[in-house]
Amino acid sequence: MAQHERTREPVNPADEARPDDATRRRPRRPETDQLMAEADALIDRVLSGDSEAFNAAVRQKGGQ
Amino acid sequence: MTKRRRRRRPRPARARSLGTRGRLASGRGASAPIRHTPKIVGADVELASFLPGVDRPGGTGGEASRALLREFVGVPAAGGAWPGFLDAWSVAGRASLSAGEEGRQFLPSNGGSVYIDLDHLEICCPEVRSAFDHVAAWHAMLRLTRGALHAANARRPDGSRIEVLVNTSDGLGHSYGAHLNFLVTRRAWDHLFTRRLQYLLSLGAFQVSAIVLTGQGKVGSENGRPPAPFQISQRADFVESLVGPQTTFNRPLVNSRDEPLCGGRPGDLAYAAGSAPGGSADERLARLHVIFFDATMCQVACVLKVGLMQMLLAMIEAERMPARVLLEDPLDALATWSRDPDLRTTTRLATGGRTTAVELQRRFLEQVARFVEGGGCDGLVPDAKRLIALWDDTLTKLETRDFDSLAARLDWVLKRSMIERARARRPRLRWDAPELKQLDHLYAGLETKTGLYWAWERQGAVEQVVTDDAIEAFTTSPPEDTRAWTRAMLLRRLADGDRVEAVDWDVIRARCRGALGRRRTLDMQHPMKHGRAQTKPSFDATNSTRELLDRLGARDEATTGQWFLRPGMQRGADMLLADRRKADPGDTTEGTDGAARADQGAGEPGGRGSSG
Repeated sequence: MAQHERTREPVNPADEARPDDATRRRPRRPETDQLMAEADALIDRVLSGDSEAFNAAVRQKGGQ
Repeated sequence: MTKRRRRRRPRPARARSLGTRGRLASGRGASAPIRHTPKIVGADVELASFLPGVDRPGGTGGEASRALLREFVGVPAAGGAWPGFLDAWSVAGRASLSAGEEGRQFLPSNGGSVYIDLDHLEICCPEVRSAFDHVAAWHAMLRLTRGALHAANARRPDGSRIEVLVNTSDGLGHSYGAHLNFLVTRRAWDHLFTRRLQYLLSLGAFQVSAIVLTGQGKVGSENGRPPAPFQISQRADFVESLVGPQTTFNRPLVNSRDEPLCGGRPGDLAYAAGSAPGGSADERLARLHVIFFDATMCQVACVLKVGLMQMLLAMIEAERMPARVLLEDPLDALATWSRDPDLRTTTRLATGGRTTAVELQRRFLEQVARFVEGGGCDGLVPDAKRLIALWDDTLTKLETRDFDSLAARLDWVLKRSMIERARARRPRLRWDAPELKQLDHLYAGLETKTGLYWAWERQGAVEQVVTDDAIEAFTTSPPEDTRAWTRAMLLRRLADGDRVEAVDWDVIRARCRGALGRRRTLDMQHPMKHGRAQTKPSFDATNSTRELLDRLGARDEATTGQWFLRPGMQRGADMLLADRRKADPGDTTEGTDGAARADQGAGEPGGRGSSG
């Protein structure tokens, strides 16, 4: 379940959310071998599946 | 001349706690109107959910979204003491309602909300002041939803699984919204929609050109629009008019739905009498409901989407109109620029000349930056200078087409690079191949194992503007500087035994133990007057819910009688009937005034539901 811990003393998320040069995480370059291997594995899995059936299943009712 | 200069010059904030900067800055006493208000922001986002491999007439969105909703732990908005009766109160007493809405609950965890709207799971972020906090709150809501997804899938006995996509179109001609909500003064609202339409056109031009920052990217086109291999904006195909209150058809670039959730609105009897919640006419606030943008995953795209709107709205409130930015045909420009991921196509300005989307963004940046530098956003938009710097740097990268760097910041660039990589691995794939459309969908998959965005984020290839701790904190804690704090804390307290009869963004109504025949209603119209600093002393002072509500200023009411005369009730009931007539033209039920009214927010089956 998406349980929420109601008894926890709330912290101030804003205190932790303030970005500054010290905390702002810069991205690593995406050309790392590990990233590309994972990306290619995901892509290959999609390319080997039944994309037409997946795309048809996505059908939604029009919303706002 | 001197007078004019003084009025136009931005002034530093002097009353930040309550956001009454304009009143104090004016130096004209209590009767001076509020000219500025902090740009509180919320969001209401419809997700796509479905069951791959399960065939149902009309799709599986409703089944999947309801299974997800059951996994959230929240307090029902309509209470539960006397179903039906209280539902009727909750609906008819409000300014508007959604015929397609069901199961709304508010979250004691962070003050947000979830419900079903038109078969979509809709997740609503708690109100925050800072665009950076919004990023954290938004990703926190995604985490909570992912928890619900895992729980719902664990319950499925047949091995089928629910998938959730964080996008705004299904690729089959159906769009759903990722809406933002901004607090503005009623004066600014009136300028936008009734008095100074150049402001509206300026806002529209900003939004259209901002797709180069906020688009999620999409393979193909929909809704009868001309073919396109790849578009920057998912929503562009579905924006068909310039302005209007509707959100489910003929969608407007600028939405004029007037549902404040922060006090009354024109048309309410109490509003006209000056006694509407929210104070006198000069103190009134409004909520700008922005339905134009795509859902964003990248944190930089998300913070720019929100922060830039905050600053521009602050500028409009200050009656500072950006110069030479109006487009001759904003809708045409949107269609053109969305189909131009190489960022070279120009469109005509109303004042003559042509511009690319990036060039127009640069014009906005220069003028907003001057406004910020002059103190125009002080006390209104946190971290405005940081937003300006990030905006400037990102535009520079767009101007130089540094797409390798931009892939770490902008969804459409990242998605395009993924799809280009797939095409490089399978050169036979054309842009209209279903495999590429599936990749398009899975970019925004909520599940971290299959969603492509998360793979990039996991590897540190996406730039973060908030920490993981900040995101996690918003899964269990509300923002401290808005009414979301009191909402969440009060729901936690009430959940211990008192009966919650109704909850909405701006009100909580409860029947306390030991108070038979009476209920207490806490109005929280002003989004900033119920933050932690204002109300925590009351929470700390007593363990009695009844006493707590009294300390917070709740109204003590008998359970029958005068609440039937609640301001706005007649209007709400009439709008309900208008909605019903739209859904079923054969419905001849008369409204309380004996006539059907197709008013703002009632001309469609999705009239409400946004954090504000």
